[in-house]
Amino acid sequence: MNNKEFIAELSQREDFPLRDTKMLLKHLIDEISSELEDGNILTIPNFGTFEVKKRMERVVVNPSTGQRMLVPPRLALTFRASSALRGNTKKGGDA
Amino acid sequence: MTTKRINMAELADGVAQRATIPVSYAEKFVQAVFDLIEEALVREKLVKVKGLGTFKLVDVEPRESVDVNTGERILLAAHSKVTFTPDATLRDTINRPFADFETVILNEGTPTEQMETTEGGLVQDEDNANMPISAGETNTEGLEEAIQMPHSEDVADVADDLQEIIDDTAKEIEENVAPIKEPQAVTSITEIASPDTVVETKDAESGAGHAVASQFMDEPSAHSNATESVVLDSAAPVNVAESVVLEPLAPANAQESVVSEPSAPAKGATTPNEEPIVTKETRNEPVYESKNTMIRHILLNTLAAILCMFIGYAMCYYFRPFELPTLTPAHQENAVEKARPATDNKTSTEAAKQTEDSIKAIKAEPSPAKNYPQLEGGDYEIVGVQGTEVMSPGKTLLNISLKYFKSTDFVPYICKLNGIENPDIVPLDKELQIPELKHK
Repeated sequence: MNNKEFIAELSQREDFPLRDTKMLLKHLIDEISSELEDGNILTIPNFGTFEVKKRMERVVVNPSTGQRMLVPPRLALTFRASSALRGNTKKGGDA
Repeated sequence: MTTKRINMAELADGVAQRATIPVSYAEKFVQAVFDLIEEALVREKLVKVKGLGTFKLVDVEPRESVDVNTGERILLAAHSKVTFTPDATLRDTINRPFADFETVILNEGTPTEQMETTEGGLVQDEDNANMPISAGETNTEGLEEAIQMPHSEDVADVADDLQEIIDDTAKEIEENVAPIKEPQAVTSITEIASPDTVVETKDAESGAGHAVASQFMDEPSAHSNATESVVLDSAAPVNVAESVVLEPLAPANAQESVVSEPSAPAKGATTPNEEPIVTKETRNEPVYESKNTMIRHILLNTLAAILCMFIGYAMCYYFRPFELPTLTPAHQENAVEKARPATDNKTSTEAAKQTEDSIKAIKAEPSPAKNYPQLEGGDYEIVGVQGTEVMSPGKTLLNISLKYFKSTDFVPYICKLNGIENPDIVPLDKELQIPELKHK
């Protein structure tokens, strides 16, 4: 399901006009991203947790050339599905 | 950046504020969004939300594992798990603090282990740089340990330990000289710490001078003057107590006498009294003992000399930007020369004061005439005319600049003052005014 389909279905369910749904979704994502940027942990019940984690710098080796590279530290967004979501998808994922 | 846990209600509040809709609406909407993502995941295994990222259901093959509690082998069934890949825009937004870093290709032979150790070393250096006195403190702590070693006659052990401590701290301090703003403080620590170290070894040996040692340690070694007198004072009781005081004290005294001559005649009077005793007692010592101390003596002196050279150099470097070039060479050499033979911080502080004074004098020079053309972006401003120079064959702007400012860097100022557009063409017999410069 791509973004268009997602918004279409969302507007249908909520009985919102398509344009308003788009706008609201944009606001939601802005809000999420600003919270995460501040380093906050976002917990959505029955869905999962978004958290920004710091990945340390490290040296990697290209196995074919043997070239070593220093990968800089970075902040990565991680998501961990809640047990409820995991349970639901375990069942339905095979279908 | 304090980490805070945000729940859905707070998220909805934020959305409501942004979109100026009732909170209840926003809550319903947020709930609907995540519900739909979950449903769509189950249905289609993949949901893309622009600006957020992609949620995906990935199949996991069945595999064997071991129950951590019972140790039994168990079979983990095949299942799906949710993965999330953040959108490129969101990923970059979050990584913004580190966005400037790039992957670096390491050249062959770059030892990574060393990099780690130098990092650690740097941290240490920083710590020491913030508190220059701490080096001295660790030194004395180490001494205390050494002294507390039972009064075994194992002099060699004690001496070796102390030598290590001295060397270590001296190295540390040497490394710290550059970052530290006031090198004088460091000098006072090393110099006072080093000779005394030796004194205290001997105290431990004789088992007499503990009081002296602690007396010294109580002094925070802040003002060089005060501490010097402590060194002298502590030396005196040691001698009276007829403990085996020894050669190493001699360099200490020698240094003191050199120093105290100009400033404190009273100290100068005490030193001669001590020196005879010292030398006399040295004679009683076994030969290997004096050899040992000789080596230490030489080591200490060379260390001190190196330190002083280093500090002199650091001071030159530190003061350079504030000085007019006319003053620089003479005073720098002065400072270095003074610091080297004297092997003491006092002379270097004096030299430093002199340089500071001269800088102040220059800065204070009152001639705030603003009616001269000023060079834009220059470090100096033209505040007057100090002389004139008539262009004759063989004269160049460069050697005029060199003559008046001891540097060829001031040609632009001469040009500016005399309205010379092209410094390569100066008419013969033109009378040039030499600017008087003041550092901005």
